[in-house]
Amino acid sequence: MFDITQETIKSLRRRLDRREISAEELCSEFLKVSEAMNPGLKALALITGEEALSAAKTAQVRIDKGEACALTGIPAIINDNIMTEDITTACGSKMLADFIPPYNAGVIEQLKSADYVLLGKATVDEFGLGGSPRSGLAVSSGFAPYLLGTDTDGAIRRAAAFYGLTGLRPTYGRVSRYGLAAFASSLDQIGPIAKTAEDCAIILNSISVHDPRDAASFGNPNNEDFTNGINAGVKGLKIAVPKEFFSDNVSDEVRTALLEAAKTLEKQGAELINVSVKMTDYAAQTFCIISSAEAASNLSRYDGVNYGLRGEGASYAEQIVDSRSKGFGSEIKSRIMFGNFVLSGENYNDYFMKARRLRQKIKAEYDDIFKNSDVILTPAVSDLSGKTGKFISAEHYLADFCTVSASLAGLPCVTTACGYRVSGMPIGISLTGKKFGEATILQIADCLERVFYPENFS
Amino acid sequence: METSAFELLCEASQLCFADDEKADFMERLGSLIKFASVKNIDCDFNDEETVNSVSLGDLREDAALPSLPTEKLLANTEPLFNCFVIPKIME
Repeated sequence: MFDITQETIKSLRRRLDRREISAEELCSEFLKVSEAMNPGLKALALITGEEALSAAKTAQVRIDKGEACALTGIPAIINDNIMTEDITTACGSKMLADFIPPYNAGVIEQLKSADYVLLGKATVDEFGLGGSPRSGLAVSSGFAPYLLGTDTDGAIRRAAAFYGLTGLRPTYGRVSRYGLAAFASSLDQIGPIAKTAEDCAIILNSISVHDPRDAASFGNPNNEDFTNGINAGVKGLKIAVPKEFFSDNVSDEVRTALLEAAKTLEKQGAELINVSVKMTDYAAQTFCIISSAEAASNLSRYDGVNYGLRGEGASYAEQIVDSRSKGFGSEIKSRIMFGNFVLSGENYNDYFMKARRLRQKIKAEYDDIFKNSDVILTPAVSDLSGKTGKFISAEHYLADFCTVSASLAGLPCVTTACGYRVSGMPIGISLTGKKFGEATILQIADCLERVFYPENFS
Repeated sequence: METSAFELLCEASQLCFADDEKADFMERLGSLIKFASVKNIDCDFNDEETVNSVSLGDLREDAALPSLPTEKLLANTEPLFNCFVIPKIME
């Protein structure tokens, strides 16, 4: 028996199609890993063993008919803020502790049409507010070969960087957000965390479908195959390196490793271009204002009336206040309060409208860079502070400056690893692409993975 | 942050805090407001000349779609004799 925890989607597909293992056997083996390790790691909020085995059986019928597609019979973990019909989706919140969705998210419909196998729901911070990078733990520990996560402030990319995985935030609109519990609607995006860029490309091929239930959905109108750039090298590609991302915000060892990675790409035929993105200095503040304002609006639906935790009170108004006060955690409450502050009459122009203009300015700077470049190379995370989910001071939001710019600009961004720190932790590298430029950033990430981790491609 | 401003935000947010929580949340809010103070940043960008950074696809046709199954919707409500219990709204 091979070690399933080391397998990629691509290799498992091959084994399933060659009948080296059945979908049910594969599912059972992954369940054994989750059931043994999850009590200690708590990477999963829920293990769906019975449903998984049933789905695996259905998948095997399809495989036996020779009708399998890329994800048929491949086990997956889904973030617990993505709706799964009849399966508890608590969004990491006491407010929705026992919520059972009556419908599937758009991405789940796509995966189900491929006969995927849902092994469990990944633990998330409340409403996906990405404090901790824990979502990557399920993949790095071998619970499943991939996870569908959510990325508002960079959670997918931070998790990938932390655990030495590959995480893709697709272009805003590429993947349907229908059925994702909304936190900040103009910033939320669903994307994959997997072991390789190629696996992320395979998953994106399956989930990038236009969904009329998400007004911002574009899907994949040209039927682009995101695996086209895999193993194609980087010759002729122009890679921008913005100096602001390589200042004191990252340690010497990270800066050195990233610049070496850039040089490696240059040796492979890419052209490096030094650029400047001045507005990055304000990205964290801009993100904080816009995301909090949107969260205050989105989370106002949780009043304990239609669903969710219901509090007590002598009047209707008191009951709503009690429901929300008991149901939300402290970080969410802070964001709601701050969101209402920036949306209030006297602060609206000084905070919210100013942040909207700064967001446009950030996007305009990126657009300018892309006139002469194909991708932008940056560190995946800064070294300002590790996000722990515990509020220390608002300054710790500055640590997000590496990830939130791409979120604000709605651009695709992939994170992979390019070596290790002295401490043994992986060093994450991010590649931001043009709008709908996922194929190019995955092509470069794949090239880096082949150089830095050749053992994975033998 | 002054207590009166904090109380107004609590009302707008439909949240309340115990007395021993208030100081902590007022400090958090003060910290966020100070951190996100962007009003003095020079930003001469004319957002009226630029399309919004969030682009929208085609809106779906305004047509009635099948409802979600009632029994599944009621599964998340407070059950009482197979009815959906709502709070008393009219005082």
